[in-house]
This record gives sequence, structure tokens and C-alpha cells, in this order.
Amino acid sequence: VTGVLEQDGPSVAAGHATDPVTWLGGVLAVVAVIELTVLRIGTRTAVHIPDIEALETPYLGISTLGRTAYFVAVVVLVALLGAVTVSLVAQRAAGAAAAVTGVLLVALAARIGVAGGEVVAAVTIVAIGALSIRLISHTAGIQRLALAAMSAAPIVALSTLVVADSLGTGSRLELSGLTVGEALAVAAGLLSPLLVAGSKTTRSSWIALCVAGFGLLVMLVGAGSTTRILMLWNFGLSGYLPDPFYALAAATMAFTIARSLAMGHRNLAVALALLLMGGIGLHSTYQTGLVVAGFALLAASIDEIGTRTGAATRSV
Amino acid sequence: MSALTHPTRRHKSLFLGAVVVIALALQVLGANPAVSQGEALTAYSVFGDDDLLDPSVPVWDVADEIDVELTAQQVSYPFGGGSVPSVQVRALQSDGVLYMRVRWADETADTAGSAVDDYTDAMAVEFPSVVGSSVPALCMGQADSGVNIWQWRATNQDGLGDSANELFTDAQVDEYPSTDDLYFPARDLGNPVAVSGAGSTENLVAQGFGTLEDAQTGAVHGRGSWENEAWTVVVARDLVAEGDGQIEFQADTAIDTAIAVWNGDRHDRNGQKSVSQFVQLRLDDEIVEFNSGVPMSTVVPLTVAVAVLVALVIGFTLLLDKRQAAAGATETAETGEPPPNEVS
Repeated sequence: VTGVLEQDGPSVAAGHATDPVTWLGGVLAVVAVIELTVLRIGTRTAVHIPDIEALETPYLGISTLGRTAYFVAVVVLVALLGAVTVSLVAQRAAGAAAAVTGVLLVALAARIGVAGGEVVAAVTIVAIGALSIRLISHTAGIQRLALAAMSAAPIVALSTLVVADSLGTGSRLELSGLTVGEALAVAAGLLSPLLVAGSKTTRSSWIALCVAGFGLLVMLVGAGSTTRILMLWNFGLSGYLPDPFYALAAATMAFTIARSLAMGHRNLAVALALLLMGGIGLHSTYQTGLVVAGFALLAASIDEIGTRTGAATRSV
Repeated sequence: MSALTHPTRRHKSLFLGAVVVIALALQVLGANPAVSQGEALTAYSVFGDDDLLDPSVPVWDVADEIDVELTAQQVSYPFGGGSVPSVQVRALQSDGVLYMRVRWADETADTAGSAVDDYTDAMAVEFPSVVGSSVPALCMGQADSGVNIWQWRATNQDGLGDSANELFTDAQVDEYPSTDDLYFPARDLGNPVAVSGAGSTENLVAQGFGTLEDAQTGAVHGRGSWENEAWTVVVARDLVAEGDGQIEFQADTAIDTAIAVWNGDRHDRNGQKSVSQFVQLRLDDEIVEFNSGVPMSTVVPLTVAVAVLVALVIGFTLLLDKRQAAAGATETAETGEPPPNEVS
């Protein structure tokens, strides 16, 4: 007797470009990359340039562009979260849909000042937990390892902050918890190729691997303090582990994203990119939204996890 | 409905146009839909005759306290610091003045500044010069987004320390015969470090590394006390700004705030200091009664809302898994064939 724990309704499988979720996800990924590159990295690095005042006009133009990209990304993010919620409801994934809705509502509550950061963090932990339960329970084999590490990293990091804050404990608990979260994030990057395991690699995926890996390694070795502070601010990674770990994790994550695109699994590629750009620090409801959107997109596109449609779905 | 399920190129163009219009409107209005979710501190209103600059007055007990982690400053030379792992921060507002109280453990009170190897204990709070959607770079701000810094120094609070003759009793010290400012150029130029009686706390503005300067206008007050191997320092300023580059505080607005501490015993000075990330400060005009704690009007609905939300999410997840398992088993039993995407 075989029972399949798979969604009953239609999924957004294969990431077809005409699907609203896939299309919105693609738009968000592009705009968020611009926001990350220009605003979170570009302007924060530019302030280190001596006599930046002499370049005030171009600097202001670039930072305005970055801020515009940020606002566009926030609007598209809200639309994507709404669309993916509808998709999850259509797949009868009510729990996952409720999780996404909960994050949207608590982010709104935080915006109007009736919920604090700790409440957002608590709801986000529950939401990521609910989405990861769906993901892990509907996949099989080695893909579960990568998915477990991906969901555990922000959950551990956020839980540590919430517990340390509520108990008023010192930095020791926080430091150890955040270090575990950081190690899990690096492990998630290293394990991410499992999500496309068994498929033929392409030149583009190897190029992505080399560019991301060597690029980050050069930045860490050449401008370590600036790169680490950018990693901390943007992704919640303190740079505690040896440099090669981060370079390898970035390389394998880039490899997986490129491979997913080559396979036509656009939702998987976009989801991984959103998880990467959200990080584990979840400094703002925007970054929390990126991470939740990444997990929700994965939960709505489970068929894309694995080498072929349904390859990774679980049977019992 | 088809526009939602199968959008055409025209639909997509219209949607993108609407997104850009909404985004630009939000940007122009400075209405950021997202908020920081880091540490949050609320400055409730209190009234009475207590001198809130005194760190020990009991009225401080009504204020929220948050624990803010610090790390060594590692962005710009001189690097270093990190000997103070955390500070405990409270905030209150009263009669149009914002008070921030910062407490941290320090085994030594370094208040003298007479010898060349004496370094003072100090503390600073940093705010964006303009409250809005743009958060400046943590370290000294940036060209288009400055910061306003209030720095308290133990040395200045206690004056400029003992004279050289009192410090080194066996030494012969030549001194300038004249006490005119002409012979003390730093004092003549108004350098607050050199001017005795200039106050313990300086109001500073900056727009990037190397641009830090005295704000010249706007009085910032501060007072610190060292007891039981810990400093407790209060800094305060009117909510209304008195000059360029200085923050104008508004009620119910989230304000990013960072803390820095210099440990004189570890020779901290300049960029060698312990710094925090931005934490969020919100001014709340709700008046709290002494000894009443955080207003129950905030605690009760928040707790109920969170509990209901968490219960709903967990309940939905458990219910869904049960229903899906049952549906899958029923489907398989009815058809006798596995669904097409199953791997047996």
C-alpha cells in the first residue's frame, strides 16, 4: 500500500514564466539584487572612499536609485507573498498559506507600531517552521538535508535572539546560538547542490561557482573588515568561521542557482536567491519577507526540488 | 480572473507601472512599509519633579530596559575596543526632553586626563540627523545621511583633573607664567576637551569618517555615576532640534539609535571603542505612572494577539498534515494506482 504525501491541488511546477508566482518571483529577484548591490553594499562601501563629498552628485544619484529599487522590491514582495499564498491555498496547503499570511499581518502590525521586533521574530520562527515542515515532509532523500539546514539557520539565529532578549541574558548564549545559526547557514550553502543532485552540470553553473567562490575569497582576504561588516549587516553573518567556508558556501549556492535556471526550475532558483538576500539576521521586515517568500516559493514548487518532476517527492 | 491566473504582457506592463508608481509615492512620502525588527526601546512619558539626569532616581524603574550587545569597532582605523560586551539602556521623556540612561560594567572609573597615558571612560549615543526611511551608515553616517552624536566623557564631568604638581609630587614642573587663553591655543579655540566647565556631554554631527565636529548649537546634558564597578550615565536633550544636522524627535516615530562605549582602562579612544548595531527607539506620549511598569494597554492586547496567531498557525499546520495524509491514502485506495509524480 502506497500513500503519497504530496499536494493535492495544482502546483506552480516547472516555474513557467506565465505563472503569476513565477513571474513575480523573477521580478522580485531582479529588483532585490539591484537593491542589495546598490543600496546595501554600494552606498555602505562608498562611504569609505576618501573625499566622497567630491563625488556627491553621482553618489546621490546612485543612492537614490538604490532606494527606489528598495521601495519597488518591497511592493513586489507584498504582491508575491499574496500570490504565493493564493497558490498554496489552491494546493490545499492551508497551514503554509496561514504561515505566510501571519508574517504579512505581523509585519503590518510592526509597521503601525502595535508589534515589536520580538513578536515579528516569534511569528517568523513559527512560519518558517511550518513551511519547512511541509517542505521536508513532501520531499525525500538527500534533499531533506539541504532543506533542513536552510530552515534551521534562521530559526536558530532568531530563536537565540528572542530567548536571549526575553531572559535578559548576556552575550554568551547569544554568541553561541548565533554561531550555530551561522554554521548552519554555511552548511545550507554547501549542501544546496543536493537540490539539483543527479542532473548534468553546465558551463554556466561552473562559471557561477568560480566567480562567486573566488570573488568572495578575494574580498575576504583583500578587504576583510569591510567584507565582514557587510556580511554582518546584510546577511547576519559575523565572519566567525574561516574564510574558505564562506567562499565555498557562496560558490556552491551560486552553482545551485545557475543549475536550477539551466534546468528550467525558475522558482527554485529564485527561492534560493531570496533566501540568500534575506540572510539569517532578519534585520528588518523586508529581509524577513524575502526569507519567508523564499521558503513559501519552495513550498509552492516542491516538484522543482530534485532532478526531475516528482523525483524527490516522498512515498511511504 | 484570467489576468490573475494567466497575465498577458499588457497585464504585466500595467502591473509593473502600478508598482513603480506606488514605490515612488512611498519613497517621496518617506513612508517605508518595512521596519527594523532589532532591539526596540520605548521612551514613555513621565511627569514630576524628579531630576531625570540623576541616574539613580527611582522613576527610572518604570522605563523599559533592553540589553544591547557591543562589539569591537572594525570598520575604520584605529580598530579595536570590544572590552565592554553589553550595555543596558533605558529611555524616558519628560517636559519636552528625551533622557537616555546607559549602564555598563566597568571595574575601574577612569576619570583623570592629566597624564599622557590617561584615557577617559566615555559613552555616546548616535541618531540619524533626519528621521526617515534612510538609515545612515552606522559609523559616522554618510554624505547624504548624517548622524547626530551625544558623547559623555568622564574626564569632562570631573573637570580636567588634578594639576601636574599634585599628580607628580616629586617632580618639578614648569608652567606657563600666564593663564591667558593666548597661551592655551586649544582652550582659545574652544576645544571642549580643553575647556574646563564646558560640560560633560558634547553635541556632535558627522557625515562620514573624518567629518565629526561639534554642533556648536543645541545643549546636550549628561551626568554619570560609578558605583559597584559599573557606570550609569544619563544624557538628555530637548526633543526639538536647535541646529543643522541635529535630530528632531517626534512621537510614535521609530528612530535608529546606536551606542558606543570607550573603556579608558583599556586605552580606548577615537575609533577604538565598543559599538552596537542600531536599535530602535520609539517615543510614546503615553504617560506611565511611577511603579506601574509597562502600560497594560500595550501588554495585554499584544500578548493575546500573538498567542492567537501562533495557535492558528500551529493548528492549521497540524490539521493540514492530517487532512493531506487522509486524502492521499483515500485516493490511493480508490484508484489503486499511485499518482503520476510518485516514486515507489
